[in-house]
Amino acid sequence: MRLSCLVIVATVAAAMASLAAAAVLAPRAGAPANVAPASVATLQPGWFAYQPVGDFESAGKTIDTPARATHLDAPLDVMVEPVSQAAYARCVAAAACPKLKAVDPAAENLPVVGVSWREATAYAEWYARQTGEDWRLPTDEEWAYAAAERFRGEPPVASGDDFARRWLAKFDADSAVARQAKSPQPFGHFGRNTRGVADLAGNVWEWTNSCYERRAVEATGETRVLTRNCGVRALEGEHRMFMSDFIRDGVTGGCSAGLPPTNLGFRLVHSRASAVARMMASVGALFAAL
Amino acid sequence: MFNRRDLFLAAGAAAGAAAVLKAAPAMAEEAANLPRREVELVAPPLVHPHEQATRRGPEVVAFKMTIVEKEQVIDDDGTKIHVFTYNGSIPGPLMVVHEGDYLELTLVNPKTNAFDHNIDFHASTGALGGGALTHINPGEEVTLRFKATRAGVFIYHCAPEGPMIPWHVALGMNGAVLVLPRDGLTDGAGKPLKYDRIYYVGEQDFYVPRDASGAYKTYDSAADSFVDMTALMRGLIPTHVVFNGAVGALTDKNALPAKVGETVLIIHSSAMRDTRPHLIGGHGDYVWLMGKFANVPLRDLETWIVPGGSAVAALYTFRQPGVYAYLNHNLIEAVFLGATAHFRVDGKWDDDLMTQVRRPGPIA
Repeated sequence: MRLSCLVIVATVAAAMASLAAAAVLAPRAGAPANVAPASVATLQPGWFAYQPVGDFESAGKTIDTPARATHLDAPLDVMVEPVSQAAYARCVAAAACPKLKAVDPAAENLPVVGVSWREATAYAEWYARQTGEDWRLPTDEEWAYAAAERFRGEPPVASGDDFARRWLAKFDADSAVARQAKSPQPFGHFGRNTRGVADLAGNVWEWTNSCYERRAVEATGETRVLTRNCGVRALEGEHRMFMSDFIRDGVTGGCSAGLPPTNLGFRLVHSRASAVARMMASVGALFAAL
Repeated sequence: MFNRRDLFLAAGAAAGAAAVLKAAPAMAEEAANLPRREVELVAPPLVHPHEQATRRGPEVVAFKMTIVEKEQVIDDDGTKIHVFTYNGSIPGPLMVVHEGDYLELTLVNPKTNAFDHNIDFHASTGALGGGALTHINPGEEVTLRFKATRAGVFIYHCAPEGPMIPWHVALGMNGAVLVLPRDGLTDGAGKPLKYDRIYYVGEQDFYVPRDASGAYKTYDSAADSFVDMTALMRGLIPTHVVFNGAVGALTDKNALPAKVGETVLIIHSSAMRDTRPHLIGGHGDYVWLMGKFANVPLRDLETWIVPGGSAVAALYTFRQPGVYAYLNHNLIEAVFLGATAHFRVDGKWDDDLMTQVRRPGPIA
C-alpha cells in the first residue's frame, strides 16, 4: 500500500491547501520497439483530500462517504493520455489482449473504449512485460491524486436517516449531470489538469484496481471493512461508479436508474521507489558489491 | 344523446346496446348547433387541462395539429433520423373529449413538408377512421369532425397508402385520444375514480439501418432512408424501442413527478407492437386492460398488456416515495432498446409497507 489514510479531516480545504506535488513531464526512453513510448507525468509525493471507495455506514445508517487527508508516499508515473486504440491493437497483435470490435489499429490519438477491467488488466500485464516496468491500473486513490481538481469524488447527498430522501437526492444530483456524446475524442480534447495529465473526467471513465467495499465508520473514527467484492471495481471519471469487471459498455450494463459511464477505458501507472528508498537501495548495492 | 351509463341501463347486452345506437340521432346538423370549444394541445407526456367528469352537455371540441417533418436525436449516442410528427412530438398530443362530444381536428401540412399525410382515428367510425377524408399534400389543410361514441383511449396514426402506412407510423406519426365517460371514470361498481395527474406515454419502435461497420447510417432526407429502413422493418426487430420519441425522454431530469398519496392516470399507447408496461415497486390499482371504459377495470395488476394498435389506461396511487422505473417489462427492450421512464415521487416513507430489517453486511 503506497497510500496511507491518516485522519478524517474536518475541512477538505485544509487538505487541498497542502497539495505539494508538481508534475514532471518525462518522455520515456528505451522502450522496446513494439511499444510506442507513452508520455508520462511523474507525480511527486504529497497530501490530498480523498474519499475512499465503497458504501459507508455509521451506527447502522448509511452516511456520506467521509473525506480524509491522504498521502501519496512514493513518486508515481502516470500515462498522460489514456491507452490508445493503436496501443491496444498492438497487444491484440501480440495475442496478449482479447480482440475488440471498435479498435482502429491506426488510431494512435484516440482512446481505446469498450474495454472491461479484465481486458485493461491483460493489457497492463503485457505492457509491463514489454517494458520491464511494473505498469498497472491505478488504485482509486492514485487516480484521484493524478486527477487533482478533476476528481469529483462523491458529493454529499442528503443528511438524515430517511432512505427515500437520500435516494431522491442522489437521483436528482445524477440527473443534473449532462450526458456526454459517446464518440471517443482525440487526445487533448478535454485538456490537461494542473498535474499535466490529459483527458481526465472527459467522456471516458477509467478502470481502477480498487474493489467495491462496504465499510463501517466506528465511533472512534476508525474505518472497518465489512465486506469486499473484487468482481466489482471502481471506475473513475466525471463521477465515481462501481462496475462488474467483465462489462465493456456501462450504458447498457448499468441499472434502470442512475448515471451510467459514457465509455469505459483506462490508463496505467507505475510506482517509482521514493528518493529515500532509491538511496537505501544504492547503499545496499554498494555494500553488496564490497 | 346517450352515454355509457345509458348503454349499461339499456340492456347490458350487445343487442340492447345496438338498439340504443340505432335510436341515436344521426343528423349532421346536430353538431353545428352544439357549443364549440377550442382546445390548445400540449406535448406529451403532459395533457391539456380537462374536466374528468362533466355536467356540460355534448359539445364540439376543436383541436388543431400541424404536421412537422424534422430530424430528431433518438438516443444518447446522438443517433439522428428523419421523423414525421403530429404537432412536433412523438407521440402526437393526447386529445381529451367526453363520450358524446364531437372531436373536430384541423390538420395542417405546411408547404415546407415533403410528404402527403392523413389521420386515422381508432375512436371514430367510418371512412378508414377518417383516413379517406383527410389526405393532404404539403401546403394543404383539412378539417374532420367525428362523434366520440365510445369511451376509452384510442390511438390515431397516419395511414397514407401501401408501404407508406407502416413507414409513417414507424417514423413517429401516432398519438392517442382519451374519450372520458361524461360522469368520469368508475371502478365498474359505482365508485368514482379520480386522478390528480395524468401522463401520456407513447411507445415507439424505430428501425435505423446500419452501415458495414455496424454504425447507424444517416440520410440527407426521409426519402433517402426509405429503402434501407423498410427493408429492416420487414425483419420486425427494432433497433430502438423508446418512450416519447427518444431514449431518456422520460428518465432522470425528465422523470415524471408525483407525490405520495397522489393518484396518477397513465395512458400508454403503442401503434404497432404489443407491449407490457410495469411499474417497478408499484402496481396498476385499476387497469382498463384494452383501454375501453365500458368495461370493468382489472385490479391490482403487476404488469398489463397493450396490444399493438391500441392504448391502455392504468390508475395508480403512489404509497411510497422514491424512484420508480416504469417500463416495458420485456427487460431487453427496456434496458437495451430504451423503453424506460422514471417516476420521481416525493413524500414520507411508510415503514409498515416495507422496511429493511437488517442492512446488507457480512453473513453472521
